[in-house]
Amino acid sequence: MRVVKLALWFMVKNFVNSVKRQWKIYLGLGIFIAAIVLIGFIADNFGSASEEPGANTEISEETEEPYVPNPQLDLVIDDDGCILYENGEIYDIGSLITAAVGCVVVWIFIVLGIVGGSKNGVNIFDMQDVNFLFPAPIKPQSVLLFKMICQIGTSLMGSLYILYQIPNLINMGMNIWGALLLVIGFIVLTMVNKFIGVFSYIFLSRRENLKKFVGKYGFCFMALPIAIPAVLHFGLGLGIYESLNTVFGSVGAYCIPFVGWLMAYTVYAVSGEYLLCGLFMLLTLVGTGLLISVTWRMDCDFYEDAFANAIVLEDAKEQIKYAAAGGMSYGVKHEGRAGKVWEKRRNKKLSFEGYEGASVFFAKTILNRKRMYRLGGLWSSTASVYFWICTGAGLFMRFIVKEISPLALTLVPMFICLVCMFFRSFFNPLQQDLSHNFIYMIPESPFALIGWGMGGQVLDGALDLIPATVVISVISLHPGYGLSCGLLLLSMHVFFGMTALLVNLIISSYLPKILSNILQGIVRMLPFFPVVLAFILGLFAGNVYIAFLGVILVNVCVSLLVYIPCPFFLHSGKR
Amino acid sequence: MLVVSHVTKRYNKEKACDDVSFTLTDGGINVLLGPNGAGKSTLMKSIIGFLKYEGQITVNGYPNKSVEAKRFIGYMPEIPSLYENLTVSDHMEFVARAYRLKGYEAYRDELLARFELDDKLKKFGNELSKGMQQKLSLCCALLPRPSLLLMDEPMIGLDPHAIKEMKKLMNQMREEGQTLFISTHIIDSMDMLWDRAIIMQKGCIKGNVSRQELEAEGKTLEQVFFEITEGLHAEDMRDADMTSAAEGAKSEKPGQEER
Repeated sequence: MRVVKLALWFMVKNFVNSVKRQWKIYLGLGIFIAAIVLIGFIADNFGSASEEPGANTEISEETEEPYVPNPQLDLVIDDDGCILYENGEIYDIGSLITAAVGCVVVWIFIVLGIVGGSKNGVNIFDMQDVNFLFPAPIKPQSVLLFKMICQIGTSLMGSLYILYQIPNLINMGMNIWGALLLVIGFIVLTMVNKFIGVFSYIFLSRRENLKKFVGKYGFCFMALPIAIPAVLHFGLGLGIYESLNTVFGSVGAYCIPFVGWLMAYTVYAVSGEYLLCGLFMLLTLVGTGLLISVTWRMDCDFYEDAFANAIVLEDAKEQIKYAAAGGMSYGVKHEGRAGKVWEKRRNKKLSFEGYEGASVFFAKTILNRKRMYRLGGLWSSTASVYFWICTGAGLFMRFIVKEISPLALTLVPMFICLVCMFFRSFFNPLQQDLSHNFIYMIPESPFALIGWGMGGQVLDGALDLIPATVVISVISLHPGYGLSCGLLLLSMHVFFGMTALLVNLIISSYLPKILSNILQGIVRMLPFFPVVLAFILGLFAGNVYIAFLGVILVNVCVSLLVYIPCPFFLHSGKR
Repeated sequence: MLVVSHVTKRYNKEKACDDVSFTLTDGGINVLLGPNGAGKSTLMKSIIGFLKYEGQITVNGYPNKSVEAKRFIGYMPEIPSLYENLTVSDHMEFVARAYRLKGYEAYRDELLARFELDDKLKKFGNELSKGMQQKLSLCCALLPRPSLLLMDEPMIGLDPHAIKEMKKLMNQMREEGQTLFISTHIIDSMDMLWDRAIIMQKGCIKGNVSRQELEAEGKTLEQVFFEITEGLHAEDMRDADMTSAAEGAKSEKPGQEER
């Protein structure tokens, strides 16, 4: 309890002091948010007032023929959603899909928590924590609890931008309570992810062999939500939807700790069964409390690991400060196998020949890529992520769901890549350049400096998307769609990068990162409706390429609009 | 007070501390000396409980990593690291809460006034100069009135006034029966203060001398240090002093080029 009080005191003090120091920014943010809410309110009322009474009344003149279900497989759309008949059984498709999506998201978070925890469960401590908390008469587990509570507070603040998804969810047909519950569920999930990470670290810290196994192969377990239904369908001969229902829709599945509980929570939040929703949230919270309790009682000695990580973090911060003051950063020393890899990278012959002026920033990005990544700079970790997402999603759609439409085979992987891209791109793409004096000293126009710098990032993004584009083209058997998808993702990457740059240039470096993320989240939502509208209009025009082109044009235009003010903030952005 | 028994700390295959054993009794200023890489920081951090090691370290009979032992220990790091969004007074309050201190306000005000931080209560951690951060770090270490205060290079970054105050404080703590254990390179700064010196080299303790023993032999701490670490004797040191003094005199002569 004492540690909880200390953590709450610490968080409140930090927040209050941060607001006192940067009250102008907080005030500006508040006004900005209020303006958006007001505009939304006015638009909503204006839209309602302009509708003619009775316009929504639908008169069905079709005569319905009596329905005779196909005992093998048949789809019936009724008032509540899709009902599927398979082998004589009835499955609620809407509920099944919700449960599947909920399960996959929760499972990914949990696996990431376990694997991440096995590697760096205690790199949440700074040097300040080491100097003040570690010598204090507090149990190590309590110190860990203190930091976890602070981290959760920060995560909660950083998740506030999720609230802006509520109107989107409502527009998709969900009621406001369901939307709110989903947002709450997501926030709880991020907390559970952190606690599981810490539990994983402490549990594995005394089991080295298991730790190595989890670290190396843990990510493979992410495929379980897909693998189990596949085994049931292909191995035991169950129907597809019967297999999916066994994993995602059965009562047994809902009993699995955390995964099942949050999956059930999602299903009942969407379907409006709030009592059951509340029950599963309660189970999750009780489970989390038990997890914290077990973690707190485990024997652990993590101070040395935390101390070593804190030194590395502090060293990196000092290097950035030193570099910003005009010094050269010396990098991190790599040992063993990593040292040999870095030696090979250092010895690669690369040159800036042909580039001068602001274009050196463009060249730097490309040369770094060639130096750091395999296949001549093509195969980066980001490229790998998109590649595997598209491969997994595409193969699932083609061979499990048995979808043959090229458009569906393109859109599903593209959408997943988009979600991944959204969360991976909150950092400032020119952070490294802006933290040094160099960029401010070159006698070039700020427009050129920013333009070439971002040009390098655009090419970087394009190269990252090449493997994914190829995969989509192959799986959908439609290179045109694949290429269009790749270009659309690139335009989104550019837009996200520009918003991150602008927000980081405007906001002081002393502000908490979460505020930058909140602002970015808000700014990124601005073109959401034009983008969706452009896509829908294109589809209704009967030409998918027009839809893709519409979205790309909207992104490019908005990106240009966001780019224009950036150079004016360049010199105020020195970190 | 502090018993270090057969402590060995390895980093991969290298021993940073090799079978180190010594005891510190209640009260007194104890100095840990040694060249770079001797293992002083590793030993200090092992005592505080940051590192895993082989052997045993106890404070007043309790294992050093236990909560009971930490009630007796205070720590001042070599490089101060403060929270950016906490003020000077917030830092002191944070320490008071972490250590469950009651009625600490008067002593807090006394410490802050002593080290000229009383007019900087509202300043944030990252707004203080390096020297002020060092002073605040010291105040935070002293606030719980620890029986055993561990200090890693405490004089670095302090102005003359602060150094004077620190020495006064050290004397006062010694008189009150508190034990200080100070790791430092600057032998001169501790010359009139120390009661016991532990000299390390290459991870081992090479010397453990008390002031009385040295004074009885007519030696200084510096002499003993160089004797142990470099094998220099008093005559060698006198010659070395004369050579460096002569070189200094030559370079001061007007019109002469530097070599």
